[in-house]
Amino acid sequence: MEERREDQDKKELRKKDLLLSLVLLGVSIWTWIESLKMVFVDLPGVKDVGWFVAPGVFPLILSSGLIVMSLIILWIAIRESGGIKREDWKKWGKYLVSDDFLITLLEAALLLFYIFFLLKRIRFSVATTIYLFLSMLIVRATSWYKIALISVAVSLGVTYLFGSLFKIPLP
Amino acid sequence: MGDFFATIAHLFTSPNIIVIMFLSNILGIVIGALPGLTATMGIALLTGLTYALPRDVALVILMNIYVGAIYGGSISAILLNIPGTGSAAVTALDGYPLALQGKAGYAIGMTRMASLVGTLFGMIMLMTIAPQLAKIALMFTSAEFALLGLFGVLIAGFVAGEDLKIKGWISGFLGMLVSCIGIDNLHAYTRFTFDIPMLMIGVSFVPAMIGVFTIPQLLDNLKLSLPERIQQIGSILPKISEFLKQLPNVIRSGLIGTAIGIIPGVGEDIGAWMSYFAAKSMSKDKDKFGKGAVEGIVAAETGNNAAIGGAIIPLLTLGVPGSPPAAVLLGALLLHGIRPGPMLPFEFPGFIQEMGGILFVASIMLFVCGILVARFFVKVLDISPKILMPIVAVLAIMGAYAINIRIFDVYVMVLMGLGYYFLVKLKYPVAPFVLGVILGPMIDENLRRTFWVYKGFTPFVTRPVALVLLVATILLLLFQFSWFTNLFSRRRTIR
Repeated sequence: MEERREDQDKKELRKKDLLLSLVLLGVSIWTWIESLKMVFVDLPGVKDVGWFVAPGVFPLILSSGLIVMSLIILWIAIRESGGIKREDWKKWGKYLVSDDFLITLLEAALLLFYIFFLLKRIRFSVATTIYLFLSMLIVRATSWYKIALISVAVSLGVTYLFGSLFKIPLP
Repeated sequence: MGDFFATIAHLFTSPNIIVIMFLSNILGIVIGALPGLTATMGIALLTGLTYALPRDVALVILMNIYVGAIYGGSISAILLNIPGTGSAAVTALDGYPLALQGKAGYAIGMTRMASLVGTLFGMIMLMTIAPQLAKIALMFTSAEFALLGLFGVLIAGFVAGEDLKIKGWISGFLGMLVSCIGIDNLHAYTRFTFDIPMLMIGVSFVPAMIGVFTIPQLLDNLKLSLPERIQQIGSILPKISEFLKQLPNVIRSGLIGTAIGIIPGVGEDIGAWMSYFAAKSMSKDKDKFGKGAVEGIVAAETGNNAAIGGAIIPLLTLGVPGSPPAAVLLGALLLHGIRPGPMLPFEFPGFIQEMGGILFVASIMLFVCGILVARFFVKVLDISPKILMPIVAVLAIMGAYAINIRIFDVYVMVLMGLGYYFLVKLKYPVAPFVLGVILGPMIDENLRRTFWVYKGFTPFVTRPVALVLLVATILLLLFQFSWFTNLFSRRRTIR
């Protein structure tokens, strides 16, 4: 029974591998093309010694390696998963609207909001208190007043540790 | 040797110095345990703060910070799966599974013992064969550095891969590719910068490391409903007999760590990886690695701490630091009027022995402080992840920011962490990516420098050390193919 479940999990993993290998393949092909542009450049050393000292050589080697490895993953994924079927898309679609995924999305969005908005606009200690409070509230970590207390205490503690003790200018 | 024992006696008989050592060691452990605050940064911060102090006191503080921070990195790696330092990424592989099994205290205790022995191992090497070892390290040229770096990344991918080994290598290659972003070191040519000025400086490894380790951990653990408290069993003071069972592993890792530490610029990270790889290869129970193998954490911690003594060897004898923290230490020594190099034994007779004495006392102090601090750190596991994880996120953000006082590093950290979240879900290991980011510039620069100086590829096959590394790299790759391994198993069967 457990063996069958493991097989199912592995099949599911390979289906996702298939998708990711295509993304990786796309990215590696793009970096390969960009690297190739950096191989044939008019720079000292490149003209006298050869193309292999150009700045594009190392990323070109890496991109080539990534292309080969992505193709291997793609091949393994197709062989072991049997390809992606319509039911798989439906299942993944359902996951995208599940509570589990929405909480992840909300937490990620909150983190981005804290970094790209709050830290730019308001004082570090206040921004951190807001982030901590909302982040714990979303997942209902404990009662709201305990969350508020923890948020304020941690925010002040971090501000003191980095700002006053380590003398680091806060963002 | 007289200076060595005199230093130890002086340090242990002065109450003021004992208090200073105690506090700086604890500060070092805390710095190492906080994601983002590295040993390098700790030494850099304290170098400025200790400038006005007498030379010997300043060195005592800095060495305690160094030793404490390298060990401290393993604490957060074990408890939270978030390594405090780059070298502790290896410890997380087996340390975190041990914590999930309720053996966090035991794991911290074993790593503390390993750190102590590793540091002492490096110290003995420093005291006895420092100049000879440094001469060997100088035989390494760009060809060897490039191959050693590549071998390190491939080893990391090989040992860290939970699913397919190739996923570990893809992670390592992605890390090296990310390290190419910015101005290259040989031609000052901009690569993959999209005309964004901030990207010209490149991606620092600390924000990248914090991002890929912390963000996936944060997003996953926040969703968990309050988990049952993991009953922590085992003392934070492991039995000596248990540790003695690891003696061959410790000696092997100590030798590897010191040898790697001596090589300029390589440092604790590869020391830990190589030791871990050797331990796994030699183990009878290979399958246990990555699932909570004590051998794994002992090898990693002995390896990275032995590299401290190793890194100080070329620093003192040649003036060439063996690791990034040793490079900062070089600055601190120069600030206090000591010029490391071949003339050091003549200008400051007995200084190497004095440093050996300080390292010895710092490692003993680490053992004591580690016991005191561990009790409090283990309590972290009692906090609900829903409360702990947002706090870790804030600390991670500060850690990423503090390394260069640059908000851009925080953006890099978060975006890289979010991007890597999907890769972690598909069992792509994180540690090889981090090592790729760290070693990428070294490999790139030395590879092209070799081509440039020798006008071709010949040194990779004509220089003995380079050839050995090249063959080892090719064998490591070939052993992943079943047809190649079958060749060996068939021969064995025939025999």
